[in-house]
Amino acid sequence: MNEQCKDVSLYFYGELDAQRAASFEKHLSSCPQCRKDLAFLRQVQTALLPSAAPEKAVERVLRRPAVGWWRQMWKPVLSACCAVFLVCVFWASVSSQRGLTDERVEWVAYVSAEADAEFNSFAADLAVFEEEF
Amino acid sequence: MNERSDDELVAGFQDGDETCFNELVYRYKNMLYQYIKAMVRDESAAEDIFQEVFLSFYRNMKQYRPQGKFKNYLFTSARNRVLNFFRDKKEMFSLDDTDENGNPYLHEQLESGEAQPLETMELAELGRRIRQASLRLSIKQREILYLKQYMTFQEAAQLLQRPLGSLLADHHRAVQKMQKLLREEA
Repeated sequence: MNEQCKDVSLYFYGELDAQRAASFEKHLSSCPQCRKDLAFLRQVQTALLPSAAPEKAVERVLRRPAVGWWRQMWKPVLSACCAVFLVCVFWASVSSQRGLTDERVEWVAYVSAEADAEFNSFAADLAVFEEEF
Repeated sequence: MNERSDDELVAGFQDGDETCFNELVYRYKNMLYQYIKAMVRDESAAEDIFQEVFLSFYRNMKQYRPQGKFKNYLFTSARNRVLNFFRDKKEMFSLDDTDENGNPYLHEQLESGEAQPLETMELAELGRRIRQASLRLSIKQREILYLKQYMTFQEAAQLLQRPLGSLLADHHRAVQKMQKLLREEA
Protein backbone atom coordinates (compact mmCIF):
# COMPACT_ATOMS: atom_id res chain seq x y z
CA MET A 1 0.00 0.00 0.00
CA ASN A 2 1.40 3.31 -1.16
CA GLU A 3 1.75 6.08 1.43
CA GLN A 4 -0.69 8.18 -0.62
CA CYS A 5 -3.35 5.46 -0.47
CA LYS A 6 -3.93 6.54 3.16
CA ASP A 7 -5.30 9.83 1.90
CA VAL A 8 -8.24 8.26 0.09
CA SER A 9 -10.82 8.97 2.83
CA LEU A 10 -9.61 12.52 3.40
CA TYR A 11 -9.71 13.11 -0.36
CA PHE A 12 -13.19 11.65 -0.71
CA TYR A 13 -14.59 13.84 2.08
CA GLY A 14 -12.82 16.95 0.75
CA GLU A 15 -10.58 17.31 3.78
CA LEU A 16 -7.20 17.46 2.00
CA ASP A 17 -5.55 20.82 1.32
CA ALA A 18 -5.30 21.81 -2.35
CA GLN A 19 -1.69 20.70 -2.75
CA ARG A 20 -2.22 17.24 -1.27
CA ALA A 21 -5.48 16.85 -3.18
CA ALA A 22 -3.71 17.58 -6.47
CA SER A 23 -0.97 15.14 -5.58
CA PHE A 24 -3.53 12.46 -4.67
CA GLU A 25 -5.34 12.96 -7.98
CA LYS A 26 -2.09 12.20 -9.82
CA HIS A 27 -1.68 9.08 -7.71
CA LEU A 28 -5.28 8.09 -8.36
CA SER A 29 -4.72 7.73 -12.09
CA SER A 30 -2.17 4.99 -11.43
CA CYS A 31 -3.80 3.23 -8.43
CA PRO A 32 -6.75 0.93 -9.19
CA GLN A 33 -7.19 0.10 -5.48
CA CYS A 34 -7.74 3.77 -4.58
CA ARG A 35 -10.23 4.15 -7.44
CA LYS A 36 -12.07 1.11 -6.11
CA ASP A 37 -12.02 2.48 -2.54
CA LEU A 38 -13.28 5.83 -3.76
CA ALA A 39 -16.22 4.21 -5.57
CA PHE A 40 -17.00 2.16 -2.47
CA LEU A 41 -16.88 5.22 -0.20
CA ARG A 42 -19.43 6.84 -2.50
CA GLN A 43 -21.73 3.80 -2.11
CA VAL A 44 -21.25 3.85 1.67
CA GLN A 45 -22.10 7.51 1.84
CA THR A 46 -25.33 6.94 -0.09
CA ALA A 47 -26.23 3.86 1.95
CA LEU A 48 -25.67 5.62 5.26
CA LEU A 49 -27.64 8.75 4.48
CA PRO A 50 -29.68 9.34 7.64
CA SER A 51 -33.18 7.95 7.40
CA ALA A 52 -35.95 9.77 9.24
CA ALA A 53 -36.05 9.41 13.00
CA PRO A 54 -39.32 7.79 14.20
CA GLU A 55 -42.09 10.37 14.42
CA LYS A 56 -43.30 9.19 17.82
CA ALA A 57 -39.84 9.70 19.36
CA VAL A 58 -39.57 13.17 17.82
CA GLU A 59 -43.11 13.99 18.98
CA ARG A 60 -42.24 13.03 22.54
CA VAL A 61 -39.22 15.32 22.45
CA LEU A 62 -41.25 18.20 21.05
CA ARG A 63 -43.97 17.72 23.68
CA ARG A 64 -41.27 17.58 26.38
CA PRO A 65 -43.43 15.59 28.83
CA ALA A 66 -40.56 14.91 31.21
CA VAL A 67 -40.08 18.55 32.00
CA GLY A 68 -42.27 19.47 34.98
CA TRP A 69 -42.45 22.99 36.37
CA TRP A 70 -40.67 21.81 39.52
CA ARG A 71 -37.58 20.93 37.46
CA GLN A 72 -37.31 24.54 36.36
CA MET A 73 -38.54 26.09 39.60
CA TRP A 74 -37.12 23.97 42.41
CA LYS A 75 -34.17 26.26 43.04
CA PRO A 76 -36.14 29.53 43.39
CA VAL A 77 -38.83 27.75 45.43
CA LEU A 78 -36.23 26.24 47.77
CA SER A 79 -34.51 29.65 48.15
CA ALA A 80 -37.82 31.30 49.01
CA CYS A 81 -38.62 28.58 51.59
CA CYS A 82 -35.18 29.03 53.20
CA ALA A 83 -35.67 32.81 53.35
CA VAL A 84 -39.12 32.44 54.98
CA PHE A 85 -37.68 29.93 57.46
CA LEU A 86 -34.83 32.26 58.44
CA VAL A 87 -37.26 35.19 58.90
CA CYS A 88 -39.44 32.98 61.15
CA VAL A 89 -36.46 31.88 63.25
CA PHE A 90 -35.30 35.50 63.61
CA TRP A 91 -38.78 36.72 64.58
CA ALA A 92 -39.23 33.92 67.13
CA SER A 93 -35.86 34.69 68.70
CA VAL A 94 -36.58 38.45 68.94
CA SER A 95 -40.03 37.97 70.44
CA SER A 96 -38.79 35.45 73.03
CA GLN A 97 -36.12 37.97 74.08
CA ARG A 98 -38.77 40.68 74.33
CA GLY A 99 -40.87 38.37 76.60
CA LEU A 100 -37.89 37.79 78.85
CA THR A 101 -37.28 41.54 79.18
CA ASP A 102 -40.91 42.18 80.14
CA GLU A 103 -40.69 39.54 82.88
CA ARG A 104 -37.53 41.15 84.22
CA VAL A 105 -39.19 44.60 84.29
CA GLU A 106 -42.17 43.17 86.14
CA TRP A 107 -39.87 41.46 88.67
CA VAL A 108 -37.87 44.66 89.27
CA ALA A 109 -41.15 46.64 89.71
CA TYR A 110 -42.42 44.00 92.17
CA VAL A 111 -39.16 44.01 94.16
CA SER A 112 -39.10 47.85 94.16
CA ALA A 113 -42.71 48.00 95.42
CA GLU A 114 -41.91 45.48 98.17
CA ALA A 115 -38.82 47.47 99.15
CA ASP A 116 -40.81 50.72 99.20
CA ALA A 117 -43.48 49.14 101.44
CA GLU A 118 -40.76 47.75 103.72
CA PHE A 119 -39.08 51.16 103.89
CA ASN A 120 -42.38 52.97 104.62
CA SER A 121 -43.23 50.52 107.37
CA PHE A 122 -39.72 50.91 108.86
CA ALA A 123 -40.00 54.76 108.61
CA ALA A 124 -43.39 54.66 110.42
CA ASP A 125 -41.98 52.45 113.17
CA LEU A 126 -38.98 54.79 113.50
CA ALA A 127 -41.32 57.82 113.87
CA VAL A 128 -43.34 56.07 116.61
CA PHE A 129 -40.11 55.13 118.42
CA GLU A 130 -38.79 58.75 118.25
CA GLU A 131 -42.11 60.13 119.58
CA GLU A 132 -42.11 57.70 122.53
CA PHE A 133 -38.49 58.21 123.58
CA MET B 1 -33.71 34.16 4.56
CA ASN B 2 -30.42 32.97 6.05
CA GLU B 3 -30.55 29.87 8.15
CA ARG B 4 -29.74 30.64 11.78
CA SER B 5 -26.60 29.07 13.21
CA ASP B 6 -26.75 26.55 16.06
CA ASP B 7 -25.41 29.17 18.48
CA GLU B 8 -28.09 31.68 17.46
CA LEU B 9 -30.77 29.05 18.01
CA VAL B 10 -29.34 28.06 21.39
CA ALA B 11 -29.16 31.73 22.44
CA GLY B 12 -32.76 32.27 21.28
CA PHE B 13 -33.86 29.22 23.23
CA GLN B 14 -32.04 30.42 26.34
CA ASP B 15 -33.90 33.71 25.97
CA GLY B 16 -37.17 31.81 26.14
CA ASP B 17 -37.98 31.20 22.46
CA GLU B 18 -39.09 27.56 22.47
CA THR B 19 -39.33 27.41 18.67
CA CYS B 20 -35.52 27.57 18.60
CA PHE B 21 -35.39 24.30 20.52
CA ASN B 22 -37.76 22.71 18.01
CA GLU B 23 -35.60 23.91 15.13
CA LEU B 24 -32.52 22.34 16.71
CA VAL B 25 -34.41 19.08 17.12
CA TYR B 26 -35.44 19.11 13.45
CA ARG B 27 -31.90 19.95 12.38
CA TYR B 28 -30.24 17.04 14.18
CA LYS B 29 -32.92 14.42 14.76
CA ASN B 30 -32.15 12.15 11.79
CA MET B 31 -28.39 12.00 12.07
CA LEU B 32 -28.49 11.67 15.84
CA TYR B 33 -31.05 8.88 15.73
CA GLN B 34 -29.15 7.04 13.01
CA TYR B 35 -25.90 7.25 14.99
CA ILE B 36 -27.53 5.98 18.20
CA LYS B 37 -29.38 3.19 16.43
CA ALA B 38 -26.26 2.04 14.60
CA MET B 39 -24.40 1.92 17.90
CA VAL B 40 -26.94 0.17 20.12
CA ARG B 41 -28.63 -1.91 17.37
CA ASP B 42 -31.88 -1.84 19.31
CA GLU B 43 -34.68 0.41 18.12
CA SER B 44 -36.45 0.81 21.44
CA ALA B 45 -33.22 1.65 23.31
CA ALA B 46 -32.25 4.00 20.48
CA GLU B 47 -35.54 5.88 20.83
CA ASP B 48 -35.08 6.19 24.60
CA ILE B 49 -31.53 7.51 24.27
CA PHE B 50 -32.58 9.85 21.47
CA GLN B 51 -35.24 11.41 23.70
CA GLU B 52 -32.95 11.60 26.72
CA VAL B 53 -30.31 13.51 24.74
CA PHE B 54 -32.70 16.27 23.68
CA LEU B 55 -34.62 16.41 26.95
CA SER B 56 -31.42 16.60 28.95
CA PHE B 57 -30.36 19.57 26.82
CA TYR B 58 -33.79 21.11 27.35
CA ARG B 59 -33.54 20.74 31.13
CA ASN B 60 -29.95 21.96 31.37
CA MET B 61 -30.00 24.60 28.66
CA LYS B 62 -29.22 27.39 31.13
CA GLN B 63 -25.85 25.80 31.88
CA TYR B 64 -24.94 25.37 28.20
CA ARG B 65 -22.52 27.99 26.86
CA PRO B 66 -22.71 28.36 23.06
CA GLN B 67 -19.20 28.06 21.61
CA GLY B 68 -19.95 26.96 18.08
CA LYS B 69 -19.86 23.32 19.14
CA PHE B 70 -23.48 22.38 19.62
CA LYS B 71 -23.22 19.35 17.32
CA ASN B 72 -20.21 18.15 19.33
CA TYR B 73 -22.17 18.65 22.58
CA LEU B 74 -25.14 16.69 21.22
CA PHE B 75 -23.09 13.74 19.96
CA THR B 76 -20.99 13.65 23.15
CA SER B 77 -24.20 13.49 25.17
CA ALA B 78 -25.51 10.68 22.92
CA ARG B 79 -22.20 8.82 23.08
CA ASN B 80 -22.12 8.92 26.90
CA ARG B 81 -25.60 7.43 27.01
CA VAL B 82 -24.64 4.77 24.47
CA LEU B 83 -21.66 3.83 26.66
CA ASN B 84 -23.97 3.62 29.69
CA PHE B 85 -26.27 1.38 27.68
CA PHE B 86 -23.37 -0.98 26.94
CA ARG B 87 -22.21 -0.82 30.55
CA ASP B 88 -25.67 -1.82 31.71
CA LYS B 89 -25.97 -4.55 29.14
CA LYS B 90 -22.32 -5.61 29.42
CA GLU B 91 -22.23 -6.00 25.63
CA MET B 92 -19.37 -3.66 24.89
CA PHE B 93 -17.54 -6.02 22.62
CA SER B 94 -20.42 -7.95 21.14
CA LEU B 95 -20.21 -8.39 17.41
CA ASP B 96 -23.47 -10.24 17.23
CA ASP B 97 -25.59 -8.99 14.37
CA THR B 98 -28.87 -10.12 15.78
CA ASP B 99 -31.33 -8.08 17.75
CA GLU B 100 -32.41 -8.65 21.36
CA ASN B 101 -34.75 -11.46 20.25
CA GLY B 102 -32.08 -13.22 18.29
CA ASN B 103 -33.47 -12.19 14.90
CA PRO B 104 -31.14 -10.88 12.22
CA TYR B 105 -30.96 -7.14 12.66
CA LEU B 106 -32.12 -5.30 9.59
CA HIS B 107 -31.26 -1.66 9.53
CA GLU B 108 -34.07 -0.95 7.17
CA GLN B 109 -36.41 -3.28 5.37
CA LEU B 110 -37.09 -2.86 1.68
CA GLU B 111 -40.65 -1.99 0.89
CA SER B 112 -42.19 -5.20 -0.41
CA GLY B 113 -44.83 -5.37 -3.04
CA GLU B 114 -43.93 -2.05 -4.61
CA ALA B 115 -42.74 -2.31 -8.18
CA GLN B 116 -39.37 -0.63 -8.56
CA PRO B 117 -37.08 -0.26 -11.59
CA LEU B 118 -34.34 -2.93 -11.63
CA GLU B 119 -31.55 -0.37 -11.19
CA THR B 120 -33.25 1.21 -8.16
CA MET B 121 -33.83 -2.21 -6.67
CA GLU B 122 -30.20 -3.16 -7.16
CA LEU B 123 -29.05 0.07 -5.57
CA ALA B 124 -31.47 -0.37 -2.70
CA GLU B 125 -30.24 -3.94 -2.23
CA LEU B 126 -26.63 -2.79 -2.27
CA GLY B 127 -27.48 -0.08 0.27
CA ARG B 128 -29.14 -2.63 2.53
CA ARG B 129 -26.13 -4.96 2.30
CA ILE B 130 -23.76 -2.10 3.10
CA ARG B 131 -25.81 -1.10 6.14
CA GLN B 132 -25.90 -4.68 7.38
CA ALA B 133 -22.16 -5.03 6.87
CA SER B 134 -21.63 -1.79 8.79
CA LEU B 135 -23.44 -3.26 11.78
CA ARG B 136 -21.01 -6.18 11.88
CA LEU B 137 -18.00 -3.93 12.37
CA SER B 138 -16.41 -3.50 15.78
CA ILE B 139 -17.87 -0.70 17.88
CA LYS B 140 -14.87 1.54 17.32
CA GLN B 141 -15.00 1.07 13.55
CA ARG B 142 -18.77 1.43 13.43
CA GLU B 143 -18.64 4.60 15.46
CA ILE B 144 -16.13 6.36 13.23
CA LEU B 145 -17.88 5.13 10.08
CA TYR B 146 -21.19 6.68 11.16
CA LEU B 147 -19.80 9.80 12.81
CA LYS B 148 -17.93 10.50 9.58
CA GLN B 149 -21.26 10.91 7.81
CA TYR B 150 -22.09 13.98 9.92
CA MET B 151 -18.76 15.65 10.69
CA THR B 152 -15.16 16.09 9.58
CA PHE B 153 -12.40 13.76 10.77
CA GLN B 154 -11.05 16.66 12.83
CA GLU B 155 -14.39 17.15 14.59
CA ALA B 156 -14.73 13.40 15.18
CA ALA B 157 -11.20 13.25 16.66
CA GLN B 158 -12.15 16.07 19.01
CA LEU B 159 -15.39 14.36 20.00
CA LEU B 160 -13.77 10.98 20.63
CA GLN B 161 -10.64 12.57 22.13
CA ARG B 162 -8.44 10.45 19.90
CA PRO B 163 -5.51 11.31 17.64
CA LEU B 164 -6.53 12.05 14.07
CA GLY B 165 -4.08 9.46 12.67
CA SER B 166 -5.56 6.59 14.67
CA LEU B 167 -9.07 7.65 13.69
CA LEU B 168 -8.14 7.68 9.99
CA ALA B 169 -6.58 4.22 10.38
CA ASP B 170 -9.77 2.90 12.03
CA HIS B 171 -11.91 4.40 9.27
CA HIS B 172 -9.68 2.83 6.63
CA ARG B 173 -9.87 -0.55 8.38
CA ALA B 174 -13.67 -0.23 8.63
CA VAL B 175 -13.96 0.37 4.89
CA GLN B 176 -11.64 -2.56 4.12
CA LYS B 177 -13.56 -4.87 6.45
CA MET B 178 -16.89 -3.93 4.91
CA GLN B 179 -15.56 -4.64 1.43
CA LYS B 180 -14.35 -8.03 2.69
CA LEU B 181 -17.72 -8.81 4.29
CA LEU B 182 -19.55 -7.94 1.09
CA ARG B 183 -17.18 -10.07 -0.96
CA GLU B 184 -17.68 -13.02 1.39
CA GLU B 185 -21.42 -12.59 1.22
CA ALA B 186 -21.32 -12.58 -2.57
